[in-house]
Amino acid sequence: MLHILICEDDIRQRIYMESVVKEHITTKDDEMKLALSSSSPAQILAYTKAHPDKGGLYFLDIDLQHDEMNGIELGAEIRGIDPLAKIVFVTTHSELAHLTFKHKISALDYIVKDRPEEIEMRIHECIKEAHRRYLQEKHEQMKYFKVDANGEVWSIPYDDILFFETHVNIRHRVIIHTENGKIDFRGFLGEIEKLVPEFFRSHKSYLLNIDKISYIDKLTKEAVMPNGKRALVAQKKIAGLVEIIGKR
Amino acid sequence: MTFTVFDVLAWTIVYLNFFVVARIIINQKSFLIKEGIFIIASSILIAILAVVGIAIFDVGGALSGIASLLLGMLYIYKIKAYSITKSIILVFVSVFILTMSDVFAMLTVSFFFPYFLPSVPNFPSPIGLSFYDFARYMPYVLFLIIISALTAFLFTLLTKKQRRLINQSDTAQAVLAGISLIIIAVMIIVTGIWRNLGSTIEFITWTIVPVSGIAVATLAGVILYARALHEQMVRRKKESEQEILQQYTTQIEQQQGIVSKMQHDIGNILSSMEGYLQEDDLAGAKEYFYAKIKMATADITDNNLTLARLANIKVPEIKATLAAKLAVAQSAGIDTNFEANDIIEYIPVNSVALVRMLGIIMDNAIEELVELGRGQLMVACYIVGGGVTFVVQNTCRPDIQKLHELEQVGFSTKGERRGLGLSNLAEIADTYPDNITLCTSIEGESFTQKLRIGGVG
Repeated sequence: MLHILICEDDIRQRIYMESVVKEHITTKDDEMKLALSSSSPAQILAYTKAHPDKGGLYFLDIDLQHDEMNGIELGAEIRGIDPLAKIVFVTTHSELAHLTFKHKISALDYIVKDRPEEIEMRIHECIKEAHRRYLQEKHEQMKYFKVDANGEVWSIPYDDILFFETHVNIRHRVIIHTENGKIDFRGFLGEIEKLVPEFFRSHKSYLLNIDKISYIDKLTKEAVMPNGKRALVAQKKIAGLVEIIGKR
Repeated sequence: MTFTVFDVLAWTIVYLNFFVVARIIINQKSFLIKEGIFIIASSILIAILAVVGIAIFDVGGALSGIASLLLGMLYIYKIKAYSITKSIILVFVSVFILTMSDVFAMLTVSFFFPYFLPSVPNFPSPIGLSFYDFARYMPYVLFLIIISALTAFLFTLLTKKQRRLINQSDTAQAVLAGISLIIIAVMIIVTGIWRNLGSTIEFITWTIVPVSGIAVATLAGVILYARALHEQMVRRKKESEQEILQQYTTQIEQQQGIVSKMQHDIGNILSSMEGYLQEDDLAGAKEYFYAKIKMATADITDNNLTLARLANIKVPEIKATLAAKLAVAQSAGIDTNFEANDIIEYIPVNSVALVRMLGIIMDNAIEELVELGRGQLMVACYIVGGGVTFVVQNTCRPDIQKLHELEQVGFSTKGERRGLGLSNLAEIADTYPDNITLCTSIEGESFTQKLRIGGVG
């Protein structure tokens, strides 16, 4: 059951959003419910604390007339309690903070109030997307590697990771190479190896995601990834790696 | 020649002394159990090599000497996690201190307490010790340990400042390590010759004097070099601080310019409206309002938004950098968006380094957007988990897909060293702060760099 929560202090706006959500639910009332609609961040937070790990859908107004907390702060608190929460910000154009929503809160989406004609459609879209993710999360446990970015946790799905590499000339630094980028952080390959037993230690400085290897270049002793990135493989590990890839 | 267990014991104590000296020079507080085991095992191994080398292969201290250098370096490099160059320097300093202390102890003891020295066979490479010899040898060894430990301690205490200087320069370290290696080689060769020369005085004349001469001269040279480098760094830091101040001032002037332009615009708008109203031309006023005023105010609020949000950043040099780069982007006609919802009062990192890194990241983004001729620059900073995260996102060419290839040639097309990776950024920023994490990614047409400065602890 997908729990839907609304936090909006403008009563007219709140009633309108409630009606749109209820309209969406009527056809699927065994799969989702409007759990709480309130003007108070404290009430919303209390509900989240009472039902952690529900992965609920939150519509949060940014400009709440509460001195203690605005919508972004509320979003951050909810994210801290429920990593699976799906947060949608309801905002005016001038409060729009696209990158902050995405990176700080990992928000699902945002709805701009200034375009009233779109609100209804956008709410429907958000509910559909949240429900789709909710079902997906229930079926398959996605595995994430958690990078400790000194106080902020960056979760990288295993499926995005190509390989880990220790830094050439800076000690205690590890680089994660992903499909479309890389992350440079403080860490130790030996410790990471223990955290991700699915990965293959091909070399003193490399830890590979076996599923991502295209082929082994035996001449240069490198594992080649789909995007052309290359990782070293020690001579004595080549045979073992070839065998594992063969079984894949 | 036959050897006894007391030989091994005596040599073990001497080499333990070597590690003690090295340990004091390293000057770290922590002491690990595996470290202790390594030291004891190494000392015994070297002692056995020494005794075997003298008794069976007749190569004197060559085997054990080389082994002690290698194991000493291994100890500092692997267990204490220093760089190779530093390991070489530290081992050399340890050997040097130990040798000097040895000469001093030998001279003192032979002068004041000759009883403890000469009757030990083969001294100073004793072999075939009986328990009596061993016991007689010990006061000298203990004296040596105390003298060398004291010297090492004094050395550590007195060279703190110099070490900090040398620590900042890779070149100084490399030169020191190179000279150390040469001196070590010379010592090994001369020691070999000395075995044929035989007398202590000749050893002192031929080895200790030139070696100390070279060592002191090199050290002096390197310290002078490092000091010059340090002064240069301080000067550069001052210059960059001045540059930041300059940018900040320029920015404030620009802001004042924008405000006065707005006042001017508003004045014009009001008088035009007044004109329409005086003539009772309501239709004209209406048209004027929708055509001009609504557009103009939209413009003003968009511009103001960036300024208003910048007010949340209370670290002046960061505010100035962001303001300057955003102004550059806006004046280049780039659609620019800035987010700062949290009030940022403190950033736990050297601000000169951060200003440079942030500057490089934003310069790269602006450069790409100018080249592209379209697209958007988005910048955000927020507080989470006791630290600050900066996100810079720009539209990029769709064919910039292979990040790793991009990196090899350097991001800038202007041939400047402005690479993408954190080490490149850090190289330019002179320092490599430990609490920094960087994420670079490309999704479709958007290129994102995320710079995370972690909280303290």
